[in-house]
Amino acid sequence: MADAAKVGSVLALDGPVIDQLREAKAFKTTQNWNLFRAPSTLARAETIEVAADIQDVNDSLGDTAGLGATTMRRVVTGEKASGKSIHLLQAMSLAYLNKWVVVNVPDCQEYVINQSAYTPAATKEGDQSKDQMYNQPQLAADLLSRLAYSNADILTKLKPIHKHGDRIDSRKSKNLKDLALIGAEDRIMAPRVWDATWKELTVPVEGAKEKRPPVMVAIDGVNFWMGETRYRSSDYKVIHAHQFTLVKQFLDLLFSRGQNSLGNGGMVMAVTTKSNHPITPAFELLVRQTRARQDGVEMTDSSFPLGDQYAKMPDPRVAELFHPDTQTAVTELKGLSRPESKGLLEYFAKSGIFREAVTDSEVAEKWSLSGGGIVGEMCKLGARTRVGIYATGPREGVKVRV
Amino acid sequence: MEIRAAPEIDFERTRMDAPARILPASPSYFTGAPMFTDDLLELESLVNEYGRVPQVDPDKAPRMAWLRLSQYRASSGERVRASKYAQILRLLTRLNRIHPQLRPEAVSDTLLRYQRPGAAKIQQATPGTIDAYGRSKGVGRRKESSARVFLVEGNGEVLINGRSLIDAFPRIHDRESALWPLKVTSRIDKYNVFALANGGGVTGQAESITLGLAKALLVQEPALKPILRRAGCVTRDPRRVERKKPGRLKARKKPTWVKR
Repeated sequence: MADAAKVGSVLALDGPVIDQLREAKAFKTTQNWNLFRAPSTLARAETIEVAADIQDVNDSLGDTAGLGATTMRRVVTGEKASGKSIHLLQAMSLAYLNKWVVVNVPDCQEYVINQSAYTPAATKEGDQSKDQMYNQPQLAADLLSRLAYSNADILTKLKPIHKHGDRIDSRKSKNLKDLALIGAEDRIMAPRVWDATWKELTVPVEGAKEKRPPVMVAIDGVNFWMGETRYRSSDYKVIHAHQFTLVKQFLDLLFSRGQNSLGNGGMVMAVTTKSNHPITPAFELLVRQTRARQDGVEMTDSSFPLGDQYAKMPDPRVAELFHPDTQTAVTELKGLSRPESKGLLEYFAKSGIFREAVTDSEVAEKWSLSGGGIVGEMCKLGARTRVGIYATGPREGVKVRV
Repeated sequence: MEIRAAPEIDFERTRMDAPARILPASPSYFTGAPMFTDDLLELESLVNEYGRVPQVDPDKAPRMAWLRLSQYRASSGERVRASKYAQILRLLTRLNRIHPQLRPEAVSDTLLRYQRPGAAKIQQATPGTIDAYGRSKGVGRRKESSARVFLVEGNGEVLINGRSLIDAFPRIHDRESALWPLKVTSRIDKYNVFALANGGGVTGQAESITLGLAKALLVQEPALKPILRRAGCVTRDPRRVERKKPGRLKARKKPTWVKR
């Protein structure tokens, strides 16, 4: 998948990687996996970029634990059906192939719609001005379960190296998989076990010879975390998404200036969702501003995107996330190029789903009809059923798929 | 009873220039609108006589602007009803369909009498032009929607009201019908489309873009007209929403029928 010459070809995923992705809940039922015998993805130019980033992280690691570890931070946006979730799946597959540990948040919506239990987290003394934070035990348990089962091979070989307090006896768990499963099976312990596991994975012991693998954090639907939730506090006040510990932890990691980083190296990739998404004007504005800055547009330029002066004040918590020193890169997934579209349609044709001849003019027509090569729309066009009706004979009037 | 002969005609005093008995010029004198009746009969006789001469298709017949009702009334001096004048117009269009090269002089002269003055200039449709940037424009309408479509040679990009095709038309059917003229002529990848549609709903806007795009394409490539006509892109669909009528709940739906 990392080969630049493979751009435009559809590559099959390895069996073990498929199992790991399934455990991590990376496959969605709304995607068209059931049309084909084995899961495969189209290698795009963006796939090559992710592979190069992963290689950079691998190359930067030194000989001892934590030496030279870099954290890559990416936010991926794009139109509806432009292939953002699959892009995340490709990044996760590359991480699994590179023997990284993958933490997957398949649906950020679960964290904000008040369908999971929440408990107030203990606030430290002297932190009266700060918001009341909340834990979500079941969601932490699910996170640990996905982590434990999808990374089973790697985690069974890693022993706990930190002390985690009274309730978690790290001597009882022989390896990190067992440690994670304590929280996966007992949701009351889950938030503490999550903190412990996270510390094990991302805080190296200085100078230790045994290196821990880098961590890939994959988040799908991050725009759900950029506003208020459906949860209410005990005073019946609406709780903001950033008051949940898991959400805050991941967002601090994604947008930090370098303080909250992955001590053993790795990548944090968050992807937005455009289907059934909440209205988040502050987040969208800041994504546009970050992209403008990346493109070299100065803040004083007239073309720099500014918010609507007559709109409501943007969410201050979201506004805090971005700042001039941020290392978070925002990429936008646009439509496929013509060679990539041709490769995709050829795959559909070879699978027997696309019945037309894959000529350049046919590819160009489908490219235009899918709004400039939007992958999801192109797959829909490639999989369209043509229905024919028998005109004569014993099956007269019967409709069949042609 | 005594029968007396008429008195002898005195040729010295009798005037020979006036007729002895005044007869009307035409039997139509005894109708309500004699000039109209004469015209109608003349046209009908021409149709009967030359009805077998080869005709052309209605859209290929020469474009003619006939006298308006007010103009005909002025020329004949009679208050002819619109429905009656429509009969004359029907006959004129029938005679106009006779092949121009095979048309008898009698027919041509008659048709000229009914041509609207200044019509030659009015009826020349100004053909669309391609501007300095290579853009051609077409306007299409459907139901309550209207669309202006600009077509320029390109590689297949489409913008509808500044948004991409997927944003503008979530339904595949609407997308395909909007680009139908290009799809049918296999030219989707040869042109870029910029359309501004307003009014109506989603499908109405898509269909209005169909018509506008066909017109814009005909400016660029007039030879495609027969193909587009067979594809159904050239005719403006005249269907509109039918009005509600009194005594009914909607245009056609009637209240529940009650036996008693």
